[in-house]
Formats: sequence, structure tokens, C-alpha cells
Amino acid sequence: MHGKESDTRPVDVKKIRELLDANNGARIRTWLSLCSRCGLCAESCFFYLAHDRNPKLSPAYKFKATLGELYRRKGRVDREFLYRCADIVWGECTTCKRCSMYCPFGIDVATLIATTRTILYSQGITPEGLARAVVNYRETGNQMGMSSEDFVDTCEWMAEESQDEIKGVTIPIDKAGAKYMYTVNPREPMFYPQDLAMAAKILTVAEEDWTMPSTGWDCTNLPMFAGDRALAGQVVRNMYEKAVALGVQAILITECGHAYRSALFEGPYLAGYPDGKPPVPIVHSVQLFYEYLRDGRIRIDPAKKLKEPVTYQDPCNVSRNGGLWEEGRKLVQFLAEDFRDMNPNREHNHCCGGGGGYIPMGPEYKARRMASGRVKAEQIRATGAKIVIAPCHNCFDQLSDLNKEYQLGVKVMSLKEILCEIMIVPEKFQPQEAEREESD
Amino acid sequence: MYQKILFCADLYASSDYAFAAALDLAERSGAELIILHVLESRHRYSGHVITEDGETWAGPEVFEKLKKKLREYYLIRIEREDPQNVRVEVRAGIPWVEICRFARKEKVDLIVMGPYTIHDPKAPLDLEKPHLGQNAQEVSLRAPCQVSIVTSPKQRLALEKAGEFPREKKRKRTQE
Amino acid sequence: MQAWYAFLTGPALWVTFTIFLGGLGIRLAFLYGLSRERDRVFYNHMDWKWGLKSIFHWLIPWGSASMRLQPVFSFVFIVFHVGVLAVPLFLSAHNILWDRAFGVSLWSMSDAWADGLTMAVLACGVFLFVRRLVRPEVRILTTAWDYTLLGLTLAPFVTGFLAYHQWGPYEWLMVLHVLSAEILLILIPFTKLGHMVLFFFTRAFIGFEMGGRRGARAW
Repeated sequence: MHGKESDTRPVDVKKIRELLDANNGARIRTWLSLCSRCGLCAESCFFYLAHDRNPKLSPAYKFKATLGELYRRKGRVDREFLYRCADIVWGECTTCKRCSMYCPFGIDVATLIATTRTILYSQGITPEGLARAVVNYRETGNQMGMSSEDFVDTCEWMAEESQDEIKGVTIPIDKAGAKYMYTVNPREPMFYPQDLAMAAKILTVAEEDWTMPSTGWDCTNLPMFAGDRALAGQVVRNMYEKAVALGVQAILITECGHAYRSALFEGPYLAGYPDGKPPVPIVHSVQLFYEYLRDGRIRIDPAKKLKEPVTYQDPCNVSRNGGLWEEGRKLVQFLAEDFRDMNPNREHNHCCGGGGGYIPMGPEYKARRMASGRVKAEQIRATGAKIVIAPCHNCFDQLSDLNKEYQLGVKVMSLKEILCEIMIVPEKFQPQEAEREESD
Repeated sequence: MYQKILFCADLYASSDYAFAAALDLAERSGAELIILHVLESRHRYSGHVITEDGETWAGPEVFEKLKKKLREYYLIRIEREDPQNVRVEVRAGIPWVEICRFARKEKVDLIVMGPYTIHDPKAPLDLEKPHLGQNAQEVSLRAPCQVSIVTSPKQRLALEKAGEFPREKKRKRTQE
Repeated sequence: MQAWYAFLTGPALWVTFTIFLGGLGIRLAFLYGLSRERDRVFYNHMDWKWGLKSIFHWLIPWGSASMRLQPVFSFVFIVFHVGVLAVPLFLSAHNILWDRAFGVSLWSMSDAWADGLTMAVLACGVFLFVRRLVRPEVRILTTAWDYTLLGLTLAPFVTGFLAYHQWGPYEWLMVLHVLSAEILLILIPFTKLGHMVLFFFTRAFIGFEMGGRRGARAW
């Protein structure tokens, strides 16, 4: 890990003990004392499967060697040990939660790993990519360090561009009382501004009442993966509070997996909401797009329906940890003629290898990410699909990398991209010839 | 005529001709010349960028170092002794996105850039390659202002010379 | 020897039951108190339908994807658990003792069945022992204490089996039988064997968490 050799800071045992005590609730106590070392979890883990069943990659070993050991030694550990833990909790686990479905006791290994990350973070240990994102969140409220001004300007730019294709597209900023407050992954305004345009086009054609907030627009939560729980809570609170202030009916999450996990499941706890529920309902794009197609608010041009074989990547945090696997499948049925499921699938899907903060951990971890992504690459190859739909940015980037690495010869696409290509644009949204000429 | 001219520097000699054109236009119209280089994000998910020293995280030091280099490289090419109306800017991200964003924000009147980057001037040209690189293509489609893509006459010459090469390659393929 | 036997089946037995039940009770009460304070997530999303389904699918043979993935191990695992619970509870000799002491008894199985199940438990125990040694992913997790607990779990069965067949010194075997069973019962509340009750809570939780909140089957 970066900076390991030069790190001579003393270990703050007191702080570690504080955190161990604070987390020593009934669940963690029970899980750690109950694990019967049966080894059933091993087969569920893609890290284990991708590395020729290396026993050190079994989920039970990973939490036993990290958090289990921290409790056993009551926090009296050295830097060497902490870096070994860091290597496990960031390099060998994406907190995809698949193993907890394969454990007879349902031990939530992801929670144990996340707790270890919190302890390591308290000692200044976190992968550089996440550490840098954390600084950006703290300074600007989003992971890419984009200013509110730049964000709003990018929205305007994309709205203007989209008007050439769809009449009347706007990206309403801070519109009070809208039905949905659309929140995005900062990668969109930063690297793929067309994603904003595509969302605007779809929402316009569906005649949705929506708005984009000028602050709190970043729905991602990398501090959650970096182990900075306080900041993770602040990040999600920014979004919740903006939604409450605007008086919207729900927060709409872009095609991003962990944002949904953060906003709907972990966020309320990170932000300290005692009932564990977000203050406004959370809706994921997969859900909303499915509803649009089901209700006919968006219609697909039958002639443009995807002819090539298509498979669907279940993002862990949308499917298993978000409960939207059926919506995703039904959605794909509207878009593609030849749908081929991966195996295993739905809530039993394998993580692509890019989740849990792995992608933003940066190039330092790329080789390992490619090696452990072998399971996903083989799954995709076995379907014979030419298009992989990935409604999650991390999956999208990981699958794009895997595509090159394993020469899968597929095209990775987001739902927005496909919808914009093949949806029917009703007459009233088609720019008139004169306007089109003008804009040319 | 023009108030602000944006020259997109790719740090390769292949865009020198475009710079000469931008400078000429700026001097003639008394416009401000902005030299912008975008450090390309290697991975579209982190602040990691490609620099001449390899991959690194974009940060103030990296930006300052590059600005200094840009000044050294381009200001020599300006004949006037004390060029006042020239500014050097550095951004990180996807080049065409940042160029368009910058042009909108600064309300520039004209963007001047080369058609595409030639990383290795000795490499034979591939005629099957599109005549515009992705950045030139996207910028010319999406920019809020005029865009001038300037090719060097040498490049055209090189294209003619290299003309035989791809055809030969094709012939070989059919023989097989 | 007689005195030893009388002590073990008299006062020692009372102490054992007190520690066993009291220990489990205290452990549960302690965890309950702790959870009220620190594990709100357990109570916030309670959903009995999902909790019970989550338990049920791990109680029935091959009821979970995980068990189906390793059918042989699951078979052994099931037989082992059934035997470990059924033999001591439904052995006729035990029930006679219950009846004599308290005038109540459970249904009892035939001795042939008990004998067969005991052998099955012992065979499963050996399998589990060997599995711990040969499967790398299990060996790496296993500690000496895991072997010890497995040995202690099997000890009452070995001694009971030998005593029943009158192989070896009967009186000695009976003393060892009762003693090992008492040690085991005393250990249950304080070790991973506590899963005999805590299993229901952890499984219910993952049922709430995956099923109740997300609709995902945790089995």
C-alpha cells in the first residue's frame, strides 16, 4: 500500500480501543464469537474463486485476521499489522455482502470489514484514491472537487446541447416542490457530461417534474468506503437536507450502485437518524426507468430494439443490496430482443470486482482488480452476449476494463445510453426544421 | 474581431502550426490568447492524470509545473518582447469536456487546435484513421463558439508520402 | 466410583443445569441490553415473515443455496446436528432417568435407532474432524479449540456408546460419560456452541436485513 514504508507514526492504541468499544455491540460480539469456522462462506466469494481457492481469501479468514484479531489483542497492534489489515479490507473485499447469504449464521462480513476500515482510517491508513476523494468531499461536498458553479454551468451546457435533439429540454436547478431531486455521480459532470444530457432527455420525454440541486447533488459516498463515518454521515446529510429544503417528494439516484446503498440503507445510520429511514423516499434510476416503460411514459421504437445478445450486470448495490433485480430484468426485456442472463444472477450475482471503493482506489490497485474480476469476465463470456448493460458507474468502469483485459469483445452500456438511442421521441418533442437549421 | 482566442495545446509538435495560426490571429485582432492544456485523466474514475513524468494525481504542484513548462515552450515562439495578452491555463479531465467547459466559462470567441495528436512523428500515418481525433471532433461539434482546426502543410505532405504504405499492407492481406 | 457417579448425577448435575440455562439466559439478557443501546438496526427493520423464513431455510435439509453448493458436507452437517440433539433428548435410558426423578419424560426412540444415530454422529464427527484437516479453507480458520470442542461434543457419545455395549470398564465409562456431558453443557453458553440459541437471532437479523429491507433471500 502507498506510503507504507515511510509511515512511522505511532499506533494510537487508545483510539483503536475506543472504536473497538464503541462498535462492540450485540451483533459484532455475536458474530465474532459464533463463527464456527465451517468454511462454507469461502465458495461464495469471488476473490476466493478468482485466485484458485486461496484459503486466505475466504470471508471468514478476512474478518478473523483483521477485526477478530484487533479484538483479541485489544487494539495493541503495530503499524505492520495495520497495513496487513488494510491490504485485506480494501484489497480483498468489496463489501458486496454475498457471503452473508452463504453463512449458516448470516454473519454480515461486510459490516465487520467496514468496521475494520473505520479503525484503520482512524490511524491514517486508507488507499490514496479514497483519501483524495475524502479531501474533495470535505472541501467541496463532492468527490471530484467540482465547484457548484461549474456543476450548474455543465448542466446548462448539456441542456442547451440536448435541445438540438429534443425540444424543450431543460435541467431545472433547485426547483422547489419538484417530484424528484435528481442526484448524480460526480463522474458524470466531470468525465461524462453526456450522461446529464441523456438523463435530461429521458426525464423530459417522460414529462417528469424534476430538478437538479445546486448543492447536495453528489449521491456517492466514498467516505463510507474509506472508513470516515463522520464525513460519510455529513455527505448523505447534505443530500437529505437539500431534498427537505426543496420540498421534493423523492430523491432520484443516478445509475450508481453504492449511492443507492448509501442513500437508502446505510446513510440514515451514518447520518444518525434513529429510525434508520431516510427523511425522503429514495428512488433508483432502474426503478424509475422500469416504471416509465411499464406505464408507457417512455416507449421503445420496435425497429430499434437491440438485436444483439444482451446480458445484464446486477450491480451488488442495486440488486442484492438494493432489491431491484427483477425491475432490472423487466426493463431489459423492453430494450432487447435476445436477453441472456449470467449465472449466478439476481441477488446471488457476483460482484464485478469494482465495488466497495475499489474503482476509486485508483491505479495502484488496478492489477489486482483485473485479477479478481476474472470471475465476472468468465460469467460474461459464457453468456455470449455482445452488449452488457451496467446500471452502475463502478460496474461500468470495471467491466470496460475487464473487456479490454480479457478481450471479451462486448460493449458496455448504461441504461440511459440505450434508452436515448431507441426511445420514441413524440412529435411535440421533435425540434422543428427551422429550429434545427438555426442550431446547425 | 476576436476578443479571446483559446489555443488547445497537446504538448506535441504536431500542434505547433495550430499555435502559430492562433498567435497570428490573436496579434492581428488584438485578442487575448489563452493557452490551455488538459491533463488527460487516465482512468475516468479518479483524479489520476497522465503527465510527462508518468501517471500521478492532479494537484497544484503538477499544475504549476506544467504551466511553467507551457510558458517556456510557447512564449519563446512569441516574437514580441513582453507578451501581455497571453495566459496559460491547465485543467485535468477529459480534454474535449474541459475545453468546451473552459470556452463556455471564459466566453472565448474562437478555439484553435490541431486535428489530432501525433505522438510519434516517425510513425507511418494510418489513412484509415479518421481525419479528426476524438477531441477535435467533439470540440468542433459542441463548442459554444467558432472552432478552427489547423493542419500543418507538413502533415499533408506526410500523408501523401505515406499513401503507399497502407495500400501495400492491404495487397499483402489479399494475397494471404 | 459409585460415589463419583452419585456426585455427578446429583449436585454436579444441578450445578450444570444451572450454569447451562443460567449462562444462556445471562448471555441473551446481556446481548439484549447491549443491542437495545447499540444495535438499533436490529429493531428498526424487524420483519417476522422474513426472519422466520431465513431461519427455516437453514433448518431444513438443503434449504439454502449454500448447502446445495456443498451437498455432501451439508448432509453430514445435518445428520450430525440431528443426532447431537435427538440422541440425548430421546434416548430411552435418559427418559427413564427423567421419569424417575421428576415423573416426566419425553417420547423416546428405540435403542436400535439410538445406537444407529450415535454411530452416525461419531462418523460425522470424524468426517468434520478430517474436513478441518484436509480442506485448506477450513484448516486455515481452525484453532486447537475447534478440535477440542469437537472432541468434547463427541466424548459423551463415545463413552455412552461404549458403556451401552458394555465394552470396557462400565463404571468408569459411565462416570466419564456424565462428566463429559456436563462439561459440554457448561461450555455451551460461553463458546461458539452458544449458536444453539444465538443461531435463531443472527439468522433472524440477516432475514430482516436482506429480506425485510431488500427482498433478498439470505439462503
